Amino acid sequence: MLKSIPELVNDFIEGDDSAFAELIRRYRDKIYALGYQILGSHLDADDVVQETFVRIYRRRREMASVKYFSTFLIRIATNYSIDLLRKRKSRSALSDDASSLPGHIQLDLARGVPNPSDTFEQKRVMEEIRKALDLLPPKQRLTAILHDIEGYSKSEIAEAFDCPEATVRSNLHIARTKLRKLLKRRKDT
Amino acid sequence: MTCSHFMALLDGFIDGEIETAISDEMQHHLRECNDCSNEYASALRLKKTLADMTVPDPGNEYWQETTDIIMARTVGADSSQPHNAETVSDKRAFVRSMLSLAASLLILFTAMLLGAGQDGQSILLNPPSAEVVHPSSINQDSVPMQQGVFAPTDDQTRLLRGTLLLASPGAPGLATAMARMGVGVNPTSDKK
Ligand SMILES: [Zn+2]
Repeated sequence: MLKSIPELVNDFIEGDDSAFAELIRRYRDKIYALGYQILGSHLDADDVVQETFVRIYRRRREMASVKYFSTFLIRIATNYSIDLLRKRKSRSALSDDASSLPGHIQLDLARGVPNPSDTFEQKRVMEEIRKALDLLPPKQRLTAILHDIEGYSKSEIAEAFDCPEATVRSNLHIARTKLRKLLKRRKDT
Repeated sequence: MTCSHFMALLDGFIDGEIETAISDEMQHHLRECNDCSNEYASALRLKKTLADMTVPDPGNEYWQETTDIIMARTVGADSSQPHNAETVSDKRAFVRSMLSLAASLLILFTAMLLGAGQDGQSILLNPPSAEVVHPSSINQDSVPMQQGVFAPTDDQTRLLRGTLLLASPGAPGLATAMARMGVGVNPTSDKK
């Protein structure tokens, strides 16, 4: 019979390595998607998947006091993604002052190959959205990605970011408003 | 309902979090207000586009490989280093071998002194007028350490016997324990 997440987490804390492997199998695609949506490339998403689970393993003794494994996982993955974003920003700031401009070529190069099943129009819209998301501050961007793209609830995001749900609502509202404006401006130009 | 009231509730409205009575009022406002209707359409379109944002599937081979890498970086890296329980037992082995080394040394010196007593000579020195030394009377006065540094052939044989005593069992045990505790060996570094 398939073990529940709390059962697996419990076994993992007690040193069962097969429980850890099963937790990886159940959550790896979610963490990959999150990393990809935040950072925009396969290589970065792969980095986020590996580092998130390595950090989870190293912090397994803390897991006993964790309420929800999934939100703890999101917290680790988003924190690491923000670190990568900051590193990338400071790297590109050193090499190129135009890094914050829309359509920055470095980010375009870092992106993976879009899903071949997507139509040309879908790809174009997705690319526009990604560029608009890149212009948002990290917390607004992450909230929009987690809620509107990955489908996490506001309470899950609040738990992951360790903040009140009102903060999530506010970040989401600002992110959506900015995205709509950015997309409208792009459409008009 | 005013436009600003409608806009304040727009997020909750498109997320389906507004209670029915207020939601009905918003629907009513939408039918009457063009501006709010446009904002609502734009917000709904964005929400749908975001929900459709797909991620390329990296494939089963990638997942298998990545899971193996993660396991090697975590479980694999851990098992290549001694676990806590093993470290404790290694420490015990170390203490045991130190004790047995001390016991061997004690036996060696006793044997040397006893042997010297039987031959009527001290092994550590060779004074021409050395007295017969009884084990019970061994003390600093009867074994003057300062005199003589060279041991004659018979004494060398006794030294060799003593060395053999010394070597077993303390030294091999000590060497094994030190090796297991990683003394002089670089611990396995955590690979990225
Ligand atoms: Zn209105």
